Amino acid sequence: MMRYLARLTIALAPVLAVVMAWASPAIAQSMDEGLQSRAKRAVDAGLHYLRGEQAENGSWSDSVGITALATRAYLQSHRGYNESDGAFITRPIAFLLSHVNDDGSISETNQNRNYNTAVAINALKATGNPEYDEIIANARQFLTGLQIDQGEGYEEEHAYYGGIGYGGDERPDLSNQYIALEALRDTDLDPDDPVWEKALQFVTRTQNRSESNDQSWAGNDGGFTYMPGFSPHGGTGSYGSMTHAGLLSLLFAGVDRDDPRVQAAHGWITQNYTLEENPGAKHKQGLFYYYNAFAKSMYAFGEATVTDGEGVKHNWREDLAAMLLSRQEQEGSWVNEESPRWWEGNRHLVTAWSVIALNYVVRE
Amino acid sequence: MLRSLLAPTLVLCAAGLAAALVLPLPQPAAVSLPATIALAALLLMPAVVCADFSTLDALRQSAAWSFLAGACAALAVGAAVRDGGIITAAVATALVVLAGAALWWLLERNAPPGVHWRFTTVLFLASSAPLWAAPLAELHAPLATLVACASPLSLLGVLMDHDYLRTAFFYQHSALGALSYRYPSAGAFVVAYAVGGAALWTIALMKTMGPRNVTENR
Repeated sequence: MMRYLARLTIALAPVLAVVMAWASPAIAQSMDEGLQSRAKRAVDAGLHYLRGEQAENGSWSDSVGITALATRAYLQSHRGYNESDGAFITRPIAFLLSHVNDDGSISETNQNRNYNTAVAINALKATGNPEYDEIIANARQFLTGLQIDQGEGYEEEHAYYGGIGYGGDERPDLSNQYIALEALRDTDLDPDDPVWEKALQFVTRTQNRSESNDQSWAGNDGGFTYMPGFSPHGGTGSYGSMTHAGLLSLLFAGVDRDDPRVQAAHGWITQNYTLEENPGAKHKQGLFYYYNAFAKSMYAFGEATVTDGEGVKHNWREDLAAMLLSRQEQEGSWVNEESPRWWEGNRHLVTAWSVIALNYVVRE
Repeated sequence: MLRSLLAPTLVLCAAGLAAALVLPLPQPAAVSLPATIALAALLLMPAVVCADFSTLDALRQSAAWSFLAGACAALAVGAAVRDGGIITAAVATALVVLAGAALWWLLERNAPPGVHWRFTTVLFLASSAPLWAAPLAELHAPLATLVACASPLSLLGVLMDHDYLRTAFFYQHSALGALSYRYPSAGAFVVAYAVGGAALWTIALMKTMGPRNVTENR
């Protein structure tokens, strides 16, 4: 009997290997081990830099948003930091909690309330501490309240319908939208909540895909732009950071990978694959935002390789790791030297974004 | 004709000021007084800079009318903050415009030729700084906050709790909304405008008193 089982195991071994390779992300999404080790060391160096830059009150740049991102970078790193590791984790959490407002938002300012609250949710959720559940629930309610719908006097036909903006006005955009949706996804918001369907209406109206986008300006390359009818890089053209934000938004909202909108977005990404720049953007603007969104969307999409427009296959993990390693400064930080737009002149923010991106690269 | 049109407005301004002092203002009470002072100073400064005040009477008159104009604007802004409705905002805008017109009328009486254009140009350039100065701020990021402060619209934005630089128009026509900037507090604005106004007042007073004293001594 034992001999029979042994023979059967040997005979099925190749089949089992194929099945395991298909089923196990750890194997399917592998990267060069040497590069992975260097990426982990880059994460350590980035976190070391951030620790040296932390203010007495536990914050970075005295900003809820940047503090939340840096905290998330620690909590989701390969080191597995948590609140028991010391004040360098507990103080920034305390800083975030000290900026919880009566309306549920978590922000030190009335500007950027959506961004700040959303990334604070991500950070608090990453602690896994149930003590923050009520704060997270209130913050979630604040975010959903920002969504533009009939409550603000907008009907479904309006291009802004379902969108979320900075929180200080009624102008939504895809960047704010994706950050908010990422936070709502983290809070395990009911997939049947109408927020998702409304959000999808707005997201769809930022995609250059006329089959699904009812806006007259919509093109057909499958990429995404900043907001309906406007790109900060000119016209209504698609560009990298927003296309990854759009792809993530679709996936967060529960759209299937086989949906034509997802496939069109992924098609744009493969056709415009590069890490030298934020494709479609001017003058290296938004480069590190792009890296951050790139890492998250490629991870969420779940394929280890990308075949570009010329038929060349790329291991996105290896490419992103190599690019971020080449751009890391001696002290462990990152910064966009070529453009300060979207705060990329702030080392704390850009380092936190880069570490988070690398966390996705080395995650198995 | 112009005076007959503006006279009721100025009466309304005075009534508005009285109402602001008497009626309890719920939420914006804390900012209504500094807003009054700041906006009065704001509206007064160009007049002091540009107008040729030859007598103390003209100076006093200017101060009084400018204060009323500022009070009117502050009351309007306060009302808009409180209610936030479209009608209130429209009324607020109309009142601010009328207050500006009152100032224009004042300048017409006292100012030498060309002062209106200088006044308008200065106000326009300062208000539109986020549009034309944004490229400078993009080259030197720390300038972003300075550019935001330069515009009187930022004061109104702060008082109304409205991040106007990220509204569709400004975001699409200025890089400033994509940069890292912080609006100063309403108090900081008040101090800045009050100090600026006081300095300009001092200059104006010195110019006015000087020749008169010389004449009296003769």
